[in-house]
Amino acid sequence: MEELLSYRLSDLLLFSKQSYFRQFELYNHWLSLAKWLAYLYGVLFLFSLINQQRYFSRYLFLISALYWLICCYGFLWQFYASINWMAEYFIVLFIIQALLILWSFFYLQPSSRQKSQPLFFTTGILLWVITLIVQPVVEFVSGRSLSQLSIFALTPDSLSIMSVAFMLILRIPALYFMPAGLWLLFSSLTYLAMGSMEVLFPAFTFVLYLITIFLQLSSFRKVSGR
Amino acid sequence: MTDCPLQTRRTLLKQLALMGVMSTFPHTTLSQLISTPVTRPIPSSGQRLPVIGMGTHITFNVGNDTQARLKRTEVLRTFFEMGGQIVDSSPMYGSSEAVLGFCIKRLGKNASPLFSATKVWTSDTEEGIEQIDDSHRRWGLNRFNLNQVHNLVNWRSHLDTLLQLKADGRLQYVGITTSHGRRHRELEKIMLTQPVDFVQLSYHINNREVENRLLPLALDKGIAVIANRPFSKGELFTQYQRNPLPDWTREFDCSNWAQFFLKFVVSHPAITCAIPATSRIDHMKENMGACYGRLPDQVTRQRMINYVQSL
Repeated sequence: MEELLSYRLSDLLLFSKQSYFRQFELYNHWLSLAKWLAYLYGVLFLFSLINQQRYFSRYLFLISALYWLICCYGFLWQFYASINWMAEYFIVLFIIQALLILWSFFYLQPSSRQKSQPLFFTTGILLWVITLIVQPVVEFVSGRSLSQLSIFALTPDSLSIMSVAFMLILRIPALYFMPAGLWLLFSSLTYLAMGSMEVLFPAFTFVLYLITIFLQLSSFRKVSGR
Repeated sequence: MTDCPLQTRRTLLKQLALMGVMSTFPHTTLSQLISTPVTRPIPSSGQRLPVIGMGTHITFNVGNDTQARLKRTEVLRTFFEMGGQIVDSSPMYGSSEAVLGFCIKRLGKNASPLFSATKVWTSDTEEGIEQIDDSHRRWGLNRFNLNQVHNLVNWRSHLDTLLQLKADGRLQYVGITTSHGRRHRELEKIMLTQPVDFVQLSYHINNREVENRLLPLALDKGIAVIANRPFSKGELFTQYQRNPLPDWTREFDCSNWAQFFLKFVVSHPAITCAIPATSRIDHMKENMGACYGRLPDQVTRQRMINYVQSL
């Protein structure tokens, strides 16, 4: 135990910041024009919410399962796993996340989706806008080159933040987004180990995710009379 | 030039590299410089190794990025041109072994003489044997010079495996490693009871704990010592490099902080070599500069300690 406690977070990091961001650059190049479709997707979702097109929003949520699979194969499998063996575990988790999204879309009973509360709804929108617009700006300011920026919905952080936004806006039980939550924790620890201010986004979202789990569990207990 | 025999061309390249080294010693005359690197013997065999080697933790973990791999190839080329031999890696270091293999293949005969040092890092004995085979494949080598039990993980079983490989002639030396000052008591017991040729441990000017027991024990038992983290993962530069080097560092042919830190480490009589890691050619030249010229004596070593403590 004493030996475990002697480790600093940075001792567990196996790659440099430069190598990590380079994987994003290579991935973004691999994505080619597909990245612009993801931005269009991001804008379309906001549009559907503004115009209260609920069914359209739900189908955009369904499409997010595809993004998990693209990110899993494109980023984790092709690039990130080459510098971090732990990425292999997240490949499995990302596939599970895609399946959970499909499951929640097709099998979650409508009655279990409570009417969206303004606070959750607004927080969800805020997260969406943060990952669509704010995050790339902060990444650029903190030192990444343009070619290394996180692409909305196609890089793990953005995808996880986007999924938590879905969770809040569509009021889907938080347990369906456990893989996203785990990635947010893992990413936060990675950026912390690097001493990077980019820790802000995954860490903030992870805290929101935890709060949501707590609130949903409390609500469940009240309803079930425990 | 194309008609020069390979050996002559290689010697010429090394001399040109040496001129680069000499340019880092503006106040040292040629007669003061030794034209070959400073070496230390491996006690168990007498084979001599240059006192500065190369680590690959983090610096060579660049995955499948061809551009980064080509840059690392040039770093490795500089290493060999300046007289380096020992290259240390581990399966724990992500893609470092595979990247090394890529670099070694590209360098061909320029990657010599290579003293290959890797590690076995798994808690499972059978997996350890597979890992050793994987390391051979990644490096592109049939035989390692040195294989080490990484951070004492499952050391009893892995030492047996490595000693068997050595007995079979498939491995030259056996070692065991630790880092960050961890598990020194256990390492000491192993040094007292096991027939290891090498130990690897962390040692630098601000972390001299090993001078108390482990280094004297290594001298006594005839065990070679590799010093990892000689810059404390760059922290020594962050702490000290904005300060000037004192003039008296010229007495041991030191012209930059990298050489200051490295010469301190390798001037300890128990240290066989240090293995700083870098991804930059300019830093590699600075590091390898510590392999040439004079080393500080005991009095100067204490002066060096006093100086950094005063900063």
